[in-house]
Amino acid sequence: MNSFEKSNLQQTDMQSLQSRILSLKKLSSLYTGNQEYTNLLKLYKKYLNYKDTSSPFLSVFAKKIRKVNRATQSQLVQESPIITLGTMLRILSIDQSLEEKMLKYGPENIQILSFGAGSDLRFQQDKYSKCSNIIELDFKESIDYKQKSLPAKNNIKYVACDLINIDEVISSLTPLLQKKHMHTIILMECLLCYLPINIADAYFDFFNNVVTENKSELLHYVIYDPVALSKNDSFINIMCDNLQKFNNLQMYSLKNIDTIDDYLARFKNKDLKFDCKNLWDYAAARDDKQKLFKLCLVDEFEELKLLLSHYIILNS
Amino acid sequence: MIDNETSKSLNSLHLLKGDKDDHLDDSILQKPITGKDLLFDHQSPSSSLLDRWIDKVSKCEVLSEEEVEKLCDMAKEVLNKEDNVQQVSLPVTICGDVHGQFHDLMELFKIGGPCPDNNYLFMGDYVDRGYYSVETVTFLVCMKVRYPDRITILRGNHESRQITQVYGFYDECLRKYGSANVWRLFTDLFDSFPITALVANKIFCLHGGLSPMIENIDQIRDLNRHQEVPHEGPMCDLLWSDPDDRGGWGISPRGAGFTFGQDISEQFNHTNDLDLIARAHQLVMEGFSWSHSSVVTIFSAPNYCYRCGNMSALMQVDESFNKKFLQFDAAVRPGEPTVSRKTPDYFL
Repeated sequence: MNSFEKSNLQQTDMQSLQSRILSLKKLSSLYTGNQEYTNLLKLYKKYLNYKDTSSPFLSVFAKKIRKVNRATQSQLVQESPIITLGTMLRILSIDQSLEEKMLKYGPENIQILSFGAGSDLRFQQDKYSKCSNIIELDFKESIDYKQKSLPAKNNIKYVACDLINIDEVISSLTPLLQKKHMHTIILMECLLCYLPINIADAYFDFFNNVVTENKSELLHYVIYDPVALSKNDSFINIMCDNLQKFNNLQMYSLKNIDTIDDYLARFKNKDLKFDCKNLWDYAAARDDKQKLFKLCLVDEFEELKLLLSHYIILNS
Repeated sequence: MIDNETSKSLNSLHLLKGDKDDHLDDSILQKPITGKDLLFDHQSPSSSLLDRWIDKVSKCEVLSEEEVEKLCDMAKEVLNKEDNVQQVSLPVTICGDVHGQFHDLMELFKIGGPCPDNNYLFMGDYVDRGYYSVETVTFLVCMKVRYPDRITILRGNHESRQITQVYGFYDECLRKYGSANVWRLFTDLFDSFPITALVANKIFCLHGGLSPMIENIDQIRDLNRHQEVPHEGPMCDLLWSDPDDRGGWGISPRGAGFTFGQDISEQFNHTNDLDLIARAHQLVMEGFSWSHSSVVTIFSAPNYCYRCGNMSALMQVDESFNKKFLQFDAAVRPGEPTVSRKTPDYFL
């Protein structure tokens, strides 16, 4: 991947980081008794304000982080309520998926591989400290910054890599894996859509054959991804065009995989039982949905439904 | 989908410039706006000044803060004379939400035919969401002042101080003018917009929908509309409610207004001797959508927020009450040097 493509992909993490912080602020105001989001926000503050004293120069990545820091503190920067709400739902749904798996299998029997972990700091939280093994993979700049700005954790390992270079990734990742009947959770938040289909296929083979040694009962996915709902889905066609035009992003799977069944077939494992919900259905099933809508001042549900219906949260 | 008649007119029309009385003199257009222009008599609006403003804004340029202040003063005089239920005669082209999609508004006038040659009724939501709310609302207000009997602009739920601070118009004013003054001028003006219209006594037009506190149209005439859109009550409901498949009144998920069923709309139409309720407020993928037997939703912002992939529609009603829907796709947007946030929002 050239540096231009890499920079465009890293920028998606910066946008996601900004949305995540604004959403966490809303969540902590909604669930005042829950310290989890308040503590996570404190951690983000530390992450965003980190200053590398070992170098007189500010890296490009650090400059991007500073820009996000300014934006999240500015009264003038307002995010679309729909994006804030969607990000809150994304945080809540992924937390819920991971917590259910930890409860079911016990954290000590779980290893988590977080692909494109970027600026996601959720695994720094105490509730994940009993997980047997957590491996975060992302570009070198992102991993370096994270390692320098946050305290080391015994159970978290990092792999600095370009996920396109699958052979390198596999050779770096394999020695860090724990086997022996370990339940392995593959976490990919808005990542599969950016991976060329053949690379994603190779990763699925690796997960099926090597990571869990063909023991499907040990392989679990938590995937958050945009999806096409039909052939010539106009929303997805425009999304691909917009992201290509404005962000120079290639959405490899979106135009080629245009049904949920085809999407599930990508994982090449008939033994896996998938629970696939779109974000709209996830929101509709929540008891606190009215509070969430009100908190974000959402007043247009047709657009919200259209957008959220095109993002899935997939569990196996 | 444009019918043959419209495509023919598209080829021949030149947007917003009439062939006869409204011919624009190039020398007027190039003339700088002077203090004298800004002091003209409110009772007799200077068409040359307004034509210059219209010409400028139709190129997607903003007026100065001083000009906006003057425009809003002129518009208040015009709009304050209008009724809460503004009478509109046939033929008319009825349009839904525009939401700051200025280039699509220009396309709308190409598809529907130029104003003032054609009568227009807009049912609110001119600002927020799109990147050109300032240009959109300025243009429509200019047109209203210039051709008060040819264009009717109703108030939508986004023509409000509170909503515009969340959904973009406030931020856009800050970006384009460096202060909130223009936002304040326009949001003050919004208090003067009529809230409903009655086309030839048969088609009731409004932004949102019905209110459990309004049984007949005369009750709307008694409302004090010159205020910020309230959080509840009949004025709020008219701008916020939606038709629903379920009968009766329901609680709206929007947190304001109500949902109303076919039984409610039929009773309202019967009580008020109406044929149809035309409203906007909801994104509909084909640009228009029928609910119940006599409620139509019209949405005129194609590819809403530059990402939804929906069509836009207009409803033309002729002198014999024949209705024709014209659908169209989004216009191509040229370069956008003044827009700071160019990417439509997605979860990345």
